[in-house]
Amino acid sequence: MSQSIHDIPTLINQYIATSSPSDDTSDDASSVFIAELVNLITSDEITLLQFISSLGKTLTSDTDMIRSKAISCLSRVFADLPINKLSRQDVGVMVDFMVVKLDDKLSLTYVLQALNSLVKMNNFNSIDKVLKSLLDSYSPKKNLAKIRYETFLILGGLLESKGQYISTHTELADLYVKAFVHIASGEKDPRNLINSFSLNTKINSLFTFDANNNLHQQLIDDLFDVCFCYFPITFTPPPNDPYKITSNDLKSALRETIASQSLFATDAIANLIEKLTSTNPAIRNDVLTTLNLCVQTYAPETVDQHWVTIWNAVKFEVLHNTNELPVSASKTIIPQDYEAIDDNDDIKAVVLTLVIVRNLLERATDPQSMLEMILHELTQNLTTITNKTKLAAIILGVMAETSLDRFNYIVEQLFSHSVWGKYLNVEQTEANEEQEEEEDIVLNIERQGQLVDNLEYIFLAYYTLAPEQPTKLSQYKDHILIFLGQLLKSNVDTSLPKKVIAQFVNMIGMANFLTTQELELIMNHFQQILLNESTSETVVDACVSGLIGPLSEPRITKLAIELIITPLLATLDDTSEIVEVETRLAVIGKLCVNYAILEVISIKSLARLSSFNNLDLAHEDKIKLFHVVIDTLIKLINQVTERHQFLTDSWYGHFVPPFLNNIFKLLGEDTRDYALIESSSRLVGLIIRYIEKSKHQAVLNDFIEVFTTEKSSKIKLEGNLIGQPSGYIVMFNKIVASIDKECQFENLNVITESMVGIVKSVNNEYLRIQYLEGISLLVNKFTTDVTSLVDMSLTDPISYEIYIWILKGLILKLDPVGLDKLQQLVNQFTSGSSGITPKSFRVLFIDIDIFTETTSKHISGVRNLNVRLLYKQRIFQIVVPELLPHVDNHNCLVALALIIENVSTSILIRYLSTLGPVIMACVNETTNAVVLKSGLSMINVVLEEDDTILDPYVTQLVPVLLQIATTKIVSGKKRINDESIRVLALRNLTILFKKGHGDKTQALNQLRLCLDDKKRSVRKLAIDLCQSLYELK
Amino acid sequence: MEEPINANPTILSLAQLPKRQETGSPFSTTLSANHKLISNALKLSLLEEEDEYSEEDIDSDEEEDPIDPQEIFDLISTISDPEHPLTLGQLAVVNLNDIEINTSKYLTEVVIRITPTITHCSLATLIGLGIKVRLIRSLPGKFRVKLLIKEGSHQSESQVNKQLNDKERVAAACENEQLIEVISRMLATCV
Repeated sequence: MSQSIHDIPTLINQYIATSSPSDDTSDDASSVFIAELVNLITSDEITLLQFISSLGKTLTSDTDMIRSKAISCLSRVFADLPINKLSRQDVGVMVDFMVVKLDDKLSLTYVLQALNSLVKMNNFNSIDKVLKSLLDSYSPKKNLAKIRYETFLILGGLLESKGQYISTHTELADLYVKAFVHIASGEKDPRNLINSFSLNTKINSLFTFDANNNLHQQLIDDLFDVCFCYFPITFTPPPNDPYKITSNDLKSALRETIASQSLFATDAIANLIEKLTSTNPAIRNDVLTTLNLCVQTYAPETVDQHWVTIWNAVKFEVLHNTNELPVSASKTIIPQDYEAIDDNDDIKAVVLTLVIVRNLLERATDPQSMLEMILHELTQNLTTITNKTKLAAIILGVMAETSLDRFNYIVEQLFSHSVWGKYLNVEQTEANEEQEEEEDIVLNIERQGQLVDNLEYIFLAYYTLAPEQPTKLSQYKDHILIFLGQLLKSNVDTSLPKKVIAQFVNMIGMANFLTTQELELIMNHFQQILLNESTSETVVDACVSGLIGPLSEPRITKLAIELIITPLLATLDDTSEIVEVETRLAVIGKLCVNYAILEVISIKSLARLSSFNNLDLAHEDKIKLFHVVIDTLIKLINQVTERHQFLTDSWYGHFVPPFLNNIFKLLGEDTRDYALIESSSRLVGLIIRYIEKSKHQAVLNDFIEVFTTEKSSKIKLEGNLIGQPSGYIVMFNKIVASIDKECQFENLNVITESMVGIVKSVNNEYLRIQYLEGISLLVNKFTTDVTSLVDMSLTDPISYEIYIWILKGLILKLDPVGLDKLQQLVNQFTSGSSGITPKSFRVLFIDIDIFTETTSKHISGVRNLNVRLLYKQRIFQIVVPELLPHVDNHNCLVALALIIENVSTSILIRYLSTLGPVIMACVNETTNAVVLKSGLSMINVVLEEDDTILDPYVTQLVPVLLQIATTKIVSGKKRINDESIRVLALRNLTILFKKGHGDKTQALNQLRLCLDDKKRSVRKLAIDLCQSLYELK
Repeated sequence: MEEPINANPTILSLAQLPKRQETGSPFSTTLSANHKLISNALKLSLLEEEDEYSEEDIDSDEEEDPIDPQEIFDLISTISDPEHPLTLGQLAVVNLNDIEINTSKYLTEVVIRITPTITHCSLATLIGLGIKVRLIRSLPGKFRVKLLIKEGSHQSESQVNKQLNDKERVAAACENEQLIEVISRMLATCV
């Protein structure tokens, strides 16, 4: 051991010399010496006595600073010593020493810190001495917040280590409370207040007070005053607040303190109620929240004592309310997240009051008498229906949801003849029958509506309770059903039926309430509403949207199919008016929430299609009807899949063949109704994608047979696609596109060859393109050996076209050979090879639906597309950099325009900086609408992303754009700047002017020409632009 | 701030204002659906030049959307009231039914009857001037705008009518910078 370590006086002197006057003791140099001292004492190398005597002179030094540092040294050593180190006598002596020093102003912090360490020690037993001296020799008002903080720590420490002991010794407890009240009085510092409230709360939970003891009465009063004087507490944290105390922390700490002592009740409740008269909503909500906490935590007998007072004080919050309760998605009267309602929202006080009423009832020892009294008081609001009835019904609803017994009691009272029963035709009980019925029980429509609305609160209480046994409400359900049913029939305006429907819907959703017959009754009501042609649209809407919720429950689904869906579908039979069919299907469609309903609709629609086919109607009208039905089915399949996925395996058997046969029958072999083929193909494709993956090979084989052979099967198509050109190629393409990509295609080469043959021979341009798409699709999905396919012929335009489409199929899957060929194509194009038209690039870049329509993550497991993610970006990178240097070449410019027309802005953004010259070349190209349009869309992208690129061109650009927007540019016989181009030009001008470019006066003059434009959209944009120019002027 | 002349006007919500109805059910035009499909497909043809097949040739002279009362209503209903933070449409100062368009060979006359929110509204002339400026700025040159106070909706109907349709007075008012500033503020909500 080195000498210096044992040299205690040196250590002490070093400490005194190094310790900073600041209170931050964590990392100054002096910590080292304290640690050494603590170490020495802990390891018994020196005794406490030796340490004290070394400190001796400094402890009593006349120099304030030295003395305070000596005490600081002592206190920090105590703080770090193990709590079992010092003997009982040591602790006693030190406490004695410290309490004497309480009047030493400069050392006070350290004295208090030392005491705090000492009270936590195992051998500490001078509780009364510490408390008394705090009471006598310490005055909180003379000290700073930081010092006062220490006293809260001492009391806190005491309660923590000796709380049990103190609480069992009444005198000590009394003394403790006195000391607490002493140090807590007049406190203003938020950190100390948090401690004060928390100590107060702890005292209330730990100590017992005798209400008959005068001293205790006084102490309770003091404890109450020392907290309640802050209510309602408001606090705005200063910037850079080191303690991170929020106004809410203080509020809730104070609230808990007030609610922690039942003996506060008389004072607290009276004072709180007085504060309820405040006009500040935040304060009132604070009062109500605190009252609620009191109701929840005070002893039941205390609650019993005060509930009448509380009820009388808060009831007007509800009864005088004129606002609507927030609509709750969870079918509860009190919204679950009611605490989150903004303080400034008037409804918050109402909701808080309802919470209080509910808790009062739950905490009371005799809830029944409370219930009776409240009910008695509210009866006058209930017996005659007024605006107040609703508010009373809300209170009843909240009380009813607390227990089944209370629910039954309230229902019984509420539906008795004297209250609501008379309106609902509930029979009088015999005892009352004698009384003369004087009052007028006929309600006007407004009152009827209110009564209907008020039923909801009882229903909501039912939802909350979710009883498994029949309740008293069941006794009245017939009355309610009849009452509502009658109102529905006597409809004058639309608001009453809507209210009735809402309550019917509520009743449908109530568990264990309605029997199947009663549900049928309601469904019949709905059926009548929906079938009655004179029902107003809003009522139909209310009915349909109300039904959607409960409809997904199997029992309701079954009833609804029988009583609503089927009758509605049956109405389709009476009409072949297109608009009528369309509206009826739209209503049915909204109700289609699950697979069961969809299936019924699909079967009925199919039957209707074949009956349309047999009707004596114009071909054109039949086509339209088919369109309506098919589009609805597509929409409904998507609508149901969004909610719940299902497989269409069974549809393949029972829906697809008759459906297709109907289409074939209607359209015949040599049809030109391509739009209907397109729609029906979309439907079949959709169904196929929802067929389980394992069945796809069989499906594909079936369809290859149907479309490419003359063999007859369930699907009867006359002729085939590969023998002669046919419009059904579209359907074949869509079906093949929807088949899983892992399937094998039989006879691929033969079929491809035949299709190539048709492309070469067909006269119909549309069909040729469809066959080309088909070839492209087959190459993309099924061809494995590609080398034989890719031989470019520039001599024969048709072969060249076929080549381009094959290339498209390949680059979609980023086939290496395909990418090679693409590179070659671009090179030849830029070097000016004749035969390669710029339009080839549109074919390569355009999205067509056989390569885009897919169904993500479906349970069928089908992956139908063989298209690589980001393929377009890849081919863009191959083609565009080659074309960019050749913008002055007309063909290259057209090619670029065609590519840009078909890529998303996200790809374009990466090439922004090179687009400047391209854009200028495009907008000056006044003979080609596509080029012009591409140029304008590029300007739009550039302006949105980074307009500095256009800076060098702005002076030329603005006049050109004005020219495009205002004049008629004609090339050949055709107008180049059509509506969309003029609109784009005006949009770009708007952005440019907003960014401060261009000459406003000149623009205003020129734009006047636009005011006479034939197209409304152009006029509108021009007028808006003028208006903003006037403002900028 | 001065007490507004009419502190509690009746207000229509935006949804209640008349809007242009979308015309044409998609099924009334199966033919055009076919047409569209075909022309979309033909865009991909490499064999023919675009101009030759283009059937748009026929209607290269575009179909005209005539200026109708709804369009006039849309132009002026968004003007702000000088004393409420609401538009003239919301306050029902201008109504679709009170807009009339009379077309003759050379000139088209737009007659608008405005309904002041109260019969002694001293701002009626200001509102009228605002509407006038908006329409002069927005309508083609052959349009003439005639503004009238709806019969029986204002105490000094004829005076206001006279003032609003006096070209000289309107021109003079537009010279007044302060007045134009107020009107610009009213028109600022029109975009």
